[in-house]
Amino acid sequence: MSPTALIVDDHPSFRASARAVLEAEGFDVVGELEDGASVRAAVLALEPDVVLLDVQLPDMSGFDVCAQLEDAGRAVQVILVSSRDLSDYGELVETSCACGFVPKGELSGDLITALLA
Amino acid sequence: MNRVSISELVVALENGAPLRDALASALGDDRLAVFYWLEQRQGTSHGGWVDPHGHAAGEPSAGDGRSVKLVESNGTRIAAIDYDAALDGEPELLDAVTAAVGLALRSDRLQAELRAEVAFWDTVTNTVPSLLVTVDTDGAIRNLNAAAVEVAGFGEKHQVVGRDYWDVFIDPSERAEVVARFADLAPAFPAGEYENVFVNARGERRVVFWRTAPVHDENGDVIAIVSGGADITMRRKRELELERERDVQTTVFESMPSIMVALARDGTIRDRDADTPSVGANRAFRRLVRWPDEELVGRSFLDLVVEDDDGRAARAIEAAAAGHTSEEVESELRSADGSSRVFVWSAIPIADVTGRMDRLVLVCGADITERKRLEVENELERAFLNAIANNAPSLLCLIDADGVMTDRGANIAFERTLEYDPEEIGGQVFWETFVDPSEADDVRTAVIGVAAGEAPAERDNTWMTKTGKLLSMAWTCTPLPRIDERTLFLVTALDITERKRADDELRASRTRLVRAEETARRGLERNLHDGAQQRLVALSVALRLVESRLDTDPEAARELLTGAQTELAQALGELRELARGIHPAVLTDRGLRAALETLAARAPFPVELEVPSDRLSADVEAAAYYVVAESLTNVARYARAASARVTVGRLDGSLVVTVTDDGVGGADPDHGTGLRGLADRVAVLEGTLEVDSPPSGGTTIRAELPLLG
Repeated sequence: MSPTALIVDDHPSFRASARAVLEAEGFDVVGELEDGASVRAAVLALEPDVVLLDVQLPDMSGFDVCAQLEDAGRAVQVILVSSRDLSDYGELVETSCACGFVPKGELSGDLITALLA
Repeated sequence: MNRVSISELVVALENGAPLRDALASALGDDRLAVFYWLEQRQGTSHGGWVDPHGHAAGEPSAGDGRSVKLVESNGTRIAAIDYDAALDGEPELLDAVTAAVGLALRSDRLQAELRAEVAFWDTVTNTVPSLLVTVDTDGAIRNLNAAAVEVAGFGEKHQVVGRDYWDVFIDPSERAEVVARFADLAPAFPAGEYENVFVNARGERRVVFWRTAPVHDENGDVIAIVSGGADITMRRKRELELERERDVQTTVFESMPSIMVALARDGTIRDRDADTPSVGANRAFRRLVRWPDEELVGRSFLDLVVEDDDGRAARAIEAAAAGHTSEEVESELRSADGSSRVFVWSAIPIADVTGRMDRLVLVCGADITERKRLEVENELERAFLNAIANNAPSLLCLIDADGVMTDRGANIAFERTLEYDPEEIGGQVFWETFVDPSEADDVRTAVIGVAAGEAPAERDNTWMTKTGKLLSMAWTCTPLPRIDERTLFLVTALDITERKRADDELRASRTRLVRAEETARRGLERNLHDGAQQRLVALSVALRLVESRLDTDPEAARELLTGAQTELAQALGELRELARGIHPAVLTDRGLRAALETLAARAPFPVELEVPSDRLSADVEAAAYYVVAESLTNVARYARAASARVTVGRLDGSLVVTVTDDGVGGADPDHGTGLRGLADRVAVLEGTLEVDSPPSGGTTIRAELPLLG
């Protein structure tokens, strides 16, 4: 059975790119979301293995979403993505529950695999 | 009783024995006294008794063992004998003795009478104030009275008698001359008069006026010279004092800074003095009017008065001529050089200041030409200062240390700005009436501080007009030099309400511009992030996918590349649009008309343009462009307009930009940031933006942008 993934990003074009990358890497993309508020419920419902989570969501930051998921007690691997650099967020990424950070332009199957290993 | 015989008595009398002693001896009465009756005593109008020495005696009377026998001759009494009453028993003896001395008694009585007369004249001579001196023909003093002894400076007559009169009454320096003259006068010594000055034996200076006359003997020879003198030392002294006083008066008259002119009662200028003829005007007067003396003497004083239309000068002189001091008169007096000077004077009746004894009029006054000139100057200066004060845009007012406004102590700007009538201002307490009540304490403290010596400083406070309008004022309070024992303070204030409002407006406008700029940057970042960046991210991801698929799935890779091309084209388009939003390159490159044509072409409705093709300053072109761009954006968004019209033209040194649409109207320039931002942008160039957007429809935006240079 293929690993499942949930994509959270407000930009449709990025969601499409991310789906292509994930699917090429063998993931089953079980859902796409464009804001942070619905993530917790979706994770509880869809039980994805990986959440590809944009940091700059229109309603809340990806770090807040991370904290919500941690509270929910559902083990899920979160990969933060952003069109900004890692250095723009400093230790916020380190202290979050995410297992990795990928600048959007560098998103590739190899990188995702490496982060999840 | 030891008596002598009658014959012995007669012998004794013939031998020259005093009558009383002879009688006393004859009657054996030691206390016997003889008195004589004189029908008229010298210096009196009645008769009286005297003793044999001529001294006055009382009425002889009997009693106390004494008796009186009256002796008569030809029926009138001539003498009385006071004798021992024991002799009354011997009347024959008394009669015999009386008869025996009868002739001697008459003779003795004559002597007594003579003695009484001499005593009288002695007394008279010694009590008269006149000096009486008798000198002999050698010049030696034979006799002199008490007055002469006193003037000679001696105590007793005998100290003087026998001296040469020139040693006593003539000054040593003149003695030789007097001795010679005395010799010349001999032997006739004619009567004469002379005055002489000498220092007497007591060292006192004396002045004596003498009259002399010769005394002749029965042969007509001069035997003595009698001099009667009068001590005129005091009179002479008084005369000298008067003379000196007159000199002093004349000196004062001459040296007084006041002008003085002595006039005759007819108002003509007198000569000063009969002895030294010069004009009766003092030096101050002569120096100021400069007329030669001969032109002044005899001339009417009123001739010198430039004009006396109201007759006050003439009346003043008449009053003084009538004996009254005149009131004060101000006149211009004509000088010899044709100029005139202003005097204030009065006329005074005087008996004599110039040495004349007739009554004169003295014109006495002061030259006030200079004072007059200063007064005129002060008046001009005051008018000048008033003109400045009343034309100054600043508010000016005068207050005392308690803040009370002086009467009429505010300038026109003060009255107008604070909306008070001039007569409403005096007496008001400055901070109570003209200051916003909430700041009255601050203002009062500031004024009191200055009154206590603090340095004046500019302060900003809110003042209040009569109608309660609040005004921002920049004001200072400054102490003025003391006038009339009062310290006044000048409050100067400038109405900065408008400036303050403009300042506030400018500050707000700047803030809005900065915010608008910030908002624009955020928008730009957002647009870049959401637009081109996302497309480039997608492109990047896609190219990586292409790379991974190129070998395994060339077909999918080609599809991905096709998608990537579309993505890239859209990214470029969005970037171009963004760049144009930041600043339209066409505006810089080709000017306002080309840029507006581009805007019009992209508008979703027809836009009619009327724009000149010449180039303007970059600031003005940019502002005009954004006015049109923002307006057309608004038309597209809200106006539901069918068309719009844009005109740009020059008017009075400004560029006037109008955007008119036929839409619904009702645009509110205060609502929303678009129009507000435009107004700020225009204000930076000192331009104005007007929005006319009635609810009935149609909106016109009109911007006026000054074309500097």
